[in-house]
Amino acid sequence: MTNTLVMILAGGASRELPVLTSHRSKAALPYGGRYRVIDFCLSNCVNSGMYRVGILAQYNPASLIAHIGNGMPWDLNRRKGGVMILQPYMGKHDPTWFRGTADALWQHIQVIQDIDCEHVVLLSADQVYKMNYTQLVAYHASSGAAVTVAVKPSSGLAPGRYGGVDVDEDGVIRGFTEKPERDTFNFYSLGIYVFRKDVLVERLSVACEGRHDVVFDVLMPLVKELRARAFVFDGYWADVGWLEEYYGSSMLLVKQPHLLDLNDPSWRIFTNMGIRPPSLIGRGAEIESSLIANGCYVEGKVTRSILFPGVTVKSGARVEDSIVFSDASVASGATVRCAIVDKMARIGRDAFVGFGNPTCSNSLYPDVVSSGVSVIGKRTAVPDGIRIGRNCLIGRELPSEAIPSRDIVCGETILGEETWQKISL
Amino acid sequence: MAEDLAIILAGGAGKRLLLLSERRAKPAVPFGGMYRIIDFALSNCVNSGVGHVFVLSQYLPRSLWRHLNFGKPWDLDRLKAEMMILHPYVGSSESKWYEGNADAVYQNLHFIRERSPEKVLILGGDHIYKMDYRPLLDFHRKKGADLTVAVKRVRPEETTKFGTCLLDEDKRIIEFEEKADRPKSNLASMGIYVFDTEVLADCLIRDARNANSTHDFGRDIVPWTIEDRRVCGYEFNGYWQDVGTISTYFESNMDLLRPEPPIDLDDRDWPILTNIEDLPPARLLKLGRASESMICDGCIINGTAESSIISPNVVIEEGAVVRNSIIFAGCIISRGAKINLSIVDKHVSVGPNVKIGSGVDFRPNEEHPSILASGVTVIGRGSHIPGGSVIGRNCLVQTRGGADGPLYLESGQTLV
Repeated sequence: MTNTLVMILAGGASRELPVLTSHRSKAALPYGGRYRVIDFCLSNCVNSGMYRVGILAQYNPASLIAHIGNGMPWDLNRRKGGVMILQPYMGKHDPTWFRGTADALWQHIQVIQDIDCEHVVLLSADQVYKMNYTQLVAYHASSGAAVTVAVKPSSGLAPGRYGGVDVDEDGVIRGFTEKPERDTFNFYSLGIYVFRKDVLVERLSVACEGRHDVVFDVLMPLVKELRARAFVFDGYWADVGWLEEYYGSSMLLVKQPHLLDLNDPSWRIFTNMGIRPPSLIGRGAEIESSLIANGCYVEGKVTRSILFPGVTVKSGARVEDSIVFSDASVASGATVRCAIVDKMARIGRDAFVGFGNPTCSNSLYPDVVSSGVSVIGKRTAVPDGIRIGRNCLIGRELPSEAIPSRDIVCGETILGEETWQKISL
Repeated sequence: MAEDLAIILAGGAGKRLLLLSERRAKPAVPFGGMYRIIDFALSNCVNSGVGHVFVLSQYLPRSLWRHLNFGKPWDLDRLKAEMMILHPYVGSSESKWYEGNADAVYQNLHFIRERSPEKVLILGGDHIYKMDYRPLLDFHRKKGADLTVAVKRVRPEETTKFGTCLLDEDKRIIEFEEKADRPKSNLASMGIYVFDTEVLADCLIRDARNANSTHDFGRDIVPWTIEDRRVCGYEFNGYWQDVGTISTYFESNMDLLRPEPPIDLDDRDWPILTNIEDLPPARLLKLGRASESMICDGCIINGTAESSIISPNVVIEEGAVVRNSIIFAGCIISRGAKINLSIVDKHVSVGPNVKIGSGVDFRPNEEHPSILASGVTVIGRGSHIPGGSVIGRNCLVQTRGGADGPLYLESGQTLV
């Protein structure tokens, strides 16, 4: 089992997390008060005793690379194995970016071939869950399947986002449809796979002619050949690659912490974090049902919220049902409600973010930003006294002059120079 | 000529910290929630660009060793930096325990000479302060001193606790008194010395040959050196606190809670680094309340913390109230417990409805009346305080294993 190779897909651009992923990959998205999303699968790897990990990265990887470093926080700086970040590179043949998940693996096939292992675990970096991959691999190995897919019963899940899986009584996958329109399948795929290495290598060599996609070009043909099995996972699992899911899953951490217990000493989530002093809670502070990371300074009222390291909440300020990333500050008298405030953003005095009720979806991303959550981009300064409604997107690096000093109504978007990215998508 | 070398004296027992140093060296005593006392001297070294650090250990070193982790947390495990722990060892010719801090350095003189530093900085491992050692080293060089002692003005009533000195206009020390009854000056030695390496070697060799010496830098080396060498005093004006007693330890922790703390732990230009495990953010539950307090990662608070320092992984259950206290890592304060003016060492479990630090009787501790008189009660590491216990003020409590019924301790009592 220690020889099992784990490949983590951390590559793609994401329009489902607007503003938050304009400068970082989904894998490096902050989560849970001091983590990044990728910490969960990395911690799962080491907690499962799997110490050979490759991370396939392509989109805006700087913050991911800085976060992973030499892998030390996860005990992945090892003489044998350890973590490797695998980026597209220029070889002797036509250099291309990763054209898809299968292509990403194919470009680094040498890594897979060189490692003496029977199975390759393939993961997505944008999910939060605790899973012992040893059980998954053991099930896979004993069943003799070419591929095993971790699945969950498909009750109450938004169709069109995940792969629908039909599983028979023996655990064999009979049908697989990527992002089905209707929820007619009994399970859905978690995007967690374990392949027999020989099969994976062989199929990848064929896939490079197809859509360059692991699901279409490798998994689906194996399903047709009835060589794929399902492994039912009943723990908590969330794909936080969508704004709504990201927000919802974060809020569960404060409302139902037992679902994804961060304090569990038997399955710790490791991260790479500089040293911050203890948080200072000032006179008159009121904090309820919240997570407060180190280095915060709280004088105001914080309810059902997550404060990352170094957040300042001044007296008379209120933070409710919100997620505030590292070193952001909320000035006195300001209110932040149902919002995600990115790193180092500053909410001015008496400003109100998340004002009113959600009456319409976001103008630019109606399918993604519709549940009432507003986002304030990294290092943006929200001017004193203004009100920003629900489902609003305020881009990153905006000085207060760049934001109109009027009410910004529900669904409005102010992206500044970031709009070009939207156009290029 | 190699870089300057710092030697941190971390071998002492720190008896006046009572139970807190019962099972660990004083520099390893927790401070400010997530730090250990030695972190301040170590971080000062790193922030001052002094990358070669020796740590001398002797007394109960395991907790210290584990904390230091080869210098990794302070970035001292690099090619051009090092941290070496120098512990007494059996040699081929003579083997003995360190008989004082000067003897400890003397026994390791060959290691110091191997590094051939120009100057050696001798530091205590038990002071809370932020100090850039570069101006001190520059001062030493500029004054052409053989030895420079960092000094600080202290309140007149404190002078008897320190070595004090008189300076001439050239900042040369003309008189030095160690813990005198009526000192002539209020310039106290901070226990921080800069030596030219060869001067240090001469002094230590001379000291080792002197049968009457107690082998202490403050008591022996400095007074003798003043007589025939050029010894200067470098005045430091910042916050500096010797946390040698329970009351100074308690006060300097509480200083951190002041609106303008005298020592800013969040100073990005002068970070205080420590070795701490990765823990989830602190969690305040529905009934959790905190004010004027420090809370650390890993805490779960559903009770009340007021004017207190709550270290990592502390659990405060519903209805429990912690006031004016320092709770070390991993303690569990069960429901309904009330803790006031206390220091609770690591992994203590306080049962339901326990009262610690209760009552208006402030009589000093019977066994240590001179040390434990400010009202602070100390609960020793790993103690279990059974539900319903009532413990007064100035008490010392260390229990092992499970006591059955509740404990009743009046103020000033000791249960060890």
